[in-house]
Amino acid sequence: MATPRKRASVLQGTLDLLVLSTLRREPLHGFGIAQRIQQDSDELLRVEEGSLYPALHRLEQSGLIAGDWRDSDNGRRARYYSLTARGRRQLAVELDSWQRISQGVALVLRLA
Amino acid sequence: MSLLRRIRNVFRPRPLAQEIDEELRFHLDMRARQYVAEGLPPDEARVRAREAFGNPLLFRERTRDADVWVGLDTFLQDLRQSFRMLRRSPALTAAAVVTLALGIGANTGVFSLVDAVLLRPLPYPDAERLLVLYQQHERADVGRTRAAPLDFLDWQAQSRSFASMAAHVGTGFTLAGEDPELVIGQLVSAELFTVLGVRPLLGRTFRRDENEAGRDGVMLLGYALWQRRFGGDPGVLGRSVVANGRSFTVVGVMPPGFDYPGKRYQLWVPLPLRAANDYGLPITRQSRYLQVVGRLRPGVTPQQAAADLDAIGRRLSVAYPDSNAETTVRVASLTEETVGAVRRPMLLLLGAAGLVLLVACANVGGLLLARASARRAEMALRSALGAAVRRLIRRLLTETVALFAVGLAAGLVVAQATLLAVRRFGPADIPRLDEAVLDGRAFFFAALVVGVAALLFGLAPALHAARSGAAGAAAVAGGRVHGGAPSRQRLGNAVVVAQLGLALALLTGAGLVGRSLLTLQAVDKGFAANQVVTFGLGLPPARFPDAASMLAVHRSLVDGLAAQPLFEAVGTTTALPLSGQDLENSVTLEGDAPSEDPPVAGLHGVSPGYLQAMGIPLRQGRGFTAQDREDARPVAIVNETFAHLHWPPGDALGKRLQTDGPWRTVVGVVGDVRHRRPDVSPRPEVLVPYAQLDPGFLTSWARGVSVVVRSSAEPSVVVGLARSAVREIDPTLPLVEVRPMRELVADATAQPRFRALLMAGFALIATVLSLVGVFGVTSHFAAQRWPEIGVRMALGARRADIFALVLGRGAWLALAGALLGLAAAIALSRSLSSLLFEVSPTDPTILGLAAAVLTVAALLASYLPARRAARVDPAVTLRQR
Repeated sequence: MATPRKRASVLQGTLDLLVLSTLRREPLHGFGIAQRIQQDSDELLRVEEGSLYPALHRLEQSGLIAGDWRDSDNGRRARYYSLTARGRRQLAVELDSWQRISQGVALVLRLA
Repeated sequence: MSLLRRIRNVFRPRPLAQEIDEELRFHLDMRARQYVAEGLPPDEARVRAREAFGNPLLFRERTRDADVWVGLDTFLQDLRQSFRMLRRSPALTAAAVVTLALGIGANTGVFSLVDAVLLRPLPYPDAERLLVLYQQHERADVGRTRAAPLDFLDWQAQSRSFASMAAHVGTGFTLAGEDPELVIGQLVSAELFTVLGVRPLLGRTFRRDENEAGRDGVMLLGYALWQRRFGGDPGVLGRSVVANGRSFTVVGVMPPGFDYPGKRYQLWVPLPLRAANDYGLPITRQSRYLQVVGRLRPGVTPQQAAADLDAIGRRLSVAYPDSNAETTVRVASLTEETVGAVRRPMLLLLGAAGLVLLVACANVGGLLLARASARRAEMALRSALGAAVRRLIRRLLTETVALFAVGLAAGLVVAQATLLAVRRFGPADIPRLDEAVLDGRAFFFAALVVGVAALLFGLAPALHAARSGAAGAAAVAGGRVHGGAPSRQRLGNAVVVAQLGLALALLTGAGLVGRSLLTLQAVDKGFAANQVVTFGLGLPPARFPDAASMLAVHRSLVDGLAAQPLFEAVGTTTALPLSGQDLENSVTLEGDAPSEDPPVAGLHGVSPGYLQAMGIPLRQGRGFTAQDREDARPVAIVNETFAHLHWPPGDALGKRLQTDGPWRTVVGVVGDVRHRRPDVSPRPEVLVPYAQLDPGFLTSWARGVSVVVRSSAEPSVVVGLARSAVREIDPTLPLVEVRPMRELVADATAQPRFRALLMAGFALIATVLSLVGVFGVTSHFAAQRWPEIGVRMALGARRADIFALVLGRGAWLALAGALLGLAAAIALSRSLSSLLFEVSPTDPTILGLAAAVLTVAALLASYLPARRAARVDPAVTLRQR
């Protein structure tokens, strides 16, 4: 959607993008998402894990991801999140702009 | 959709919190388990997991915030706390709620009345395009009249401004059957239903050709009559109904609520206007008895229609100078005709209710202000702990909203009770009053009033408290926070003075309206209503086709009733005073040059016993006797106003006049009767023996007579005896509109009484509320000065001095309020003057009395605080210091 979203901190925006892209492959619970992000970013991203949950619920409220309770691998009930169709579109848009920004940044850095 | 879910989430706080908890716990457990798998001992694993996670409580809150609509959530939290606060100070809450309930209830109730009577359009499509047409005579004593049939036909044919135009006139119908019944119906031109835009519930309305004599034997039933007399049977269509001895076919039933042109009318029948009709109604230009209503053609304004009709009227007055000289045709909106007369009184009531609400809100505002001051410490503490000023204001406003919401609910109950009482006891002659209901519109109005009031009277105290709270944050540290800034005292004083002023204005208004009512009730109406019972009898043309048969049955009725030993006097009249029945005719006096515009006087045909039965005093000459028969010398009696107007004092007897036919000799002069309304001065009147009425006049205008029975027996006994006496003479004649004469008199003053009652109620409420205000302010004044009082007493001041100090504050408030109130009362007096009867709107007695009452009451209200202050023990207060 083209509506301007609430101005978010860079970190929050990044976290949203990471969550969305993590869920691209399969539904995951919060802990799984945290694990995946840490692995994928080579433990570079060190934020408090708890801050993942407000972000997850916010994304859910804006309809980009959907959460439902399922049994996890070890038998305990866990809340799994999956990407909605809208989330998929949003991810595409954000990836695109992210790539353009990072290309731009890379260019600037090279010229510097 | 997301907002909706977030609103829903607000209302399921517990499961939501549990779900979040479970989700976060799962994460912590998984992480801990991972650390255990990596070889850490369980305890340490849990600590590490917690470290990696951050503060779970904080994240739980933030997660919840993401799930709910925070604004609504905060509001509800505040609301819950507000109700807790309200419960904690029940006395203050009760006082505020009762105050608000009275103010809101009065306003909502009156609004519902005004809405039903004035604001809602009449129940016809595009009702604002409906106009009433009438004839206006240039001479003031003739003035406005209805329309004559031939004139109406010309208006209808020549006017280009109306899509349709219809005439109608009321008449009585005696329905035949085992239980003969007289109902009031309307003779109408077929177009009436097109004009009004009303469809029948069953069947059809009239066709054009049914306005022709011979085809007019069709009838439309009103819903109530259909239900009552025909049991709501749909098979009534096509059935034959005998009315006035003639057979009518029922072609339709009108929907419930249709009662044009007024509540009394229960059936409609076509009115033939082009040829002689069965109703004895003359088709001329002289007899003006038709009411005319028209619907404007699309695009035509009322002004254009008025100009159009004015031109037609001019042409007619040139073409028919005998009948139409000096007359014009005028229009008025049907809505204005229906409710115009009650607009002013209704708006007065709305204004009065508004003043009550102001007084009530001022009281509640005062209470809130007082409490806000008392809570300065709390506010300061909250402020010191980091609460934003905006948040505090919001908190306090929410409390106000909660209070007003409770007040609103209680107010609606008060309004409903008021409405029930008004519908039950209100005057019957205010149109549509019984349609007043507490509906969505009234609720919206109440909510609007409450919203505005809450904002106006809640915001100031909230701002005050929050600001001073923030400012006082520093003071908390020193442990000294005192209530009662001087600004609050000034505000409190101003509010109370304004309240007293408003209350005095209302008291004055109630006093004036009340005095006007007493004057009106005491005015000599010219007859003695006590121990008089009246009822109507109709003599239908089918049964009594000519004057002779009418007079025969009239004579035996009068004789039969007079023979009842319990009846002291029995009389009949063609027009009962204060009943709405009336007839005026032109009068020619002997010796006067034949004039184009002879004087006009009320003309009534009465039986010999009428004067005695009605208690109308004879001033000169004699009353009518049984010898004044149709074949005797024509005689007349005039009232004093008529005699004064036309002859030198004492000279009336023996003079001759002509009004309905033959020359009559005046044989008596009687006292004046206020025939139409008790507040209108008597007009000239001529009484004629019923038996001597001109036969043409008798058969067309005098078929309905009112019987007047004077008896000391119970009204119910009188009616029973009268009923059996009438049945003995003619079992087909029903008695209608049986009423004690006192009731007619009471009804004639019902509207002023209704106004006086409501005004008195409003004034009482406002006065009591403003006294509460005085009490509050003087109490506060005294409490503020306890230390000072202690010092004064220690220095030798007597208790009386202290008493006087506090009472003096009350007196000062009362004086300022009285001055303000007198100014307001005088400023508002002009809007009241048209509603008063023989009372000046600035009547000094009333003004003085109201001011005195309010001042004394205000002093009484400050008596208690003054006495308490005088009992202060100086030792105690000084020690506290």
